[in-house]
Amino acid sequence: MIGRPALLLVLIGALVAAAAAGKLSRYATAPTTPAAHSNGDTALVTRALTEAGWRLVATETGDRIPFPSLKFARDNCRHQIVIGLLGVSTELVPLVTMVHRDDVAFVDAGQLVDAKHVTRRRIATLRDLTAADQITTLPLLAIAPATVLREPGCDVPFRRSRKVAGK
Amino acid sequence: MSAGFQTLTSSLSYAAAARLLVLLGGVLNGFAVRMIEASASGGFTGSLLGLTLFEIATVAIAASLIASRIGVTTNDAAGRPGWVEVAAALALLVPSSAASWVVVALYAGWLAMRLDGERRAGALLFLALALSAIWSSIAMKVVALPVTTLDATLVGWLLAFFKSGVVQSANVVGVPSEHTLIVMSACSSADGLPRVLVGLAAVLVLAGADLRTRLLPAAAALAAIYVAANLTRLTIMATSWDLYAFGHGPFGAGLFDVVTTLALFAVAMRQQQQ
Repeated sequence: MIGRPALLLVLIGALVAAAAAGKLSRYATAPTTPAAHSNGDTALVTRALTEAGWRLVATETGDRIPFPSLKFARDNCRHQIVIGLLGVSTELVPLVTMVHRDDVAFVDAGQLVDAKHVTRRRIATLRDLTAADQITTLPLLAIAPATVLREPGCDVPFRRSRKVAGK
Repeated sequence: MSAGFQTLTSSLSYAAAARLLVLLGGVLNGFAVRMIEASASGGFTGSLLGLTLFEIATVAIAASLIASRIGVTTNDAAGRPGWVEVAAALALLVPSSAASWVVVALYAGWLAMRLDGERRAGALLFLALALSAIWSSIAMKVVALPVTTLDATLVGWLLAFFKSGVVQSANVVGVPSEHTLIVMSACSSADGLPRVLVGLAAVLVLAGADLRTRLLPAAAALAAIYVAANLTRLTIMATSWDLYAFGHGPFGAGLFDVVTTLALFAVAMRQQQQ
């Protein structure tokens, strides 16, 4: 006959096993490839910008920017926004800064910051953004003419303090 | 009861078995993300399930200490798992690895206050392991910019010895017309150092060193070596794109791990000899 201590031990073991199985299952079924991340991020970004009055005008993989990018336009706004979806390839961040040195804005933890702030803020990476729970992630990088952020009436929905989406 | 269960409970008290279940289960929950990612990536990293040798050694040493029967009183040996263990196991159900590390830290801290001898040392090692994980996954975010900026500044100074036109701006450093490096928080010395120091503490405990007198000088020596090695690696990566690929790739990462592991054991052995 199993006594109370043994029952408690079994209960603890079952709880620990259930917790581990839950996490392993959750993370194992999350998108793990760059393409899968990009697909999810594309939906998030498009929804957020569409709700703010921007419309998707192009989806492309640029020859200078070797990852998927989304181009958005808005009526009465001279500038367009280009969102680069860096996926899990944080290796590409240096390339981005090289090709867009003086005209780049970054999504930092789900917030768009203009070029002036780039050097004063941490540049997000997949690992920075989501830390231990890094598989469910947000779009990582936005590239836009910095002037768009200062053009009257052309606010972007996730500028500065507003998140694109929560986890 | 099954034979396995009887074996477990005959070699361990119920209380010790429950502690191990909670602590090892918490660690497993904390590492879940890395294990999944590493197993998907394959290679050497995948074979270790994304864990460093320091972390594996620390967990093994800490677990063996928690299970130790040395100095265990008869009353404690017959101890029973309590509702604290059940509550901790329940808390592990929160679907977040970071939350699991918090549970491990709180439970290990609670154990460290209640146990003594080798088992207290084991609890403290689990506490230190959890705190280093919390530091990397949560606290580093808060101080990421100044920390990575400091690394980039030091890399800029080193780079200026053999390259002209070096520009450092916040955590970006390099020669803009050639190659630049962005120092990410995961690359910074401050991110990896706590894990290495926890590994050092585990090795010193295993070697029977008196941590009160040995840990501080050993940690200072290892920290100096680790920071120097990491800055060297970052400087190599900031030199050119080809060297970036070398330093950041599997070979560079493996070489760095070997150097830090050798440094750890050298420092630990030096402390033993003194």
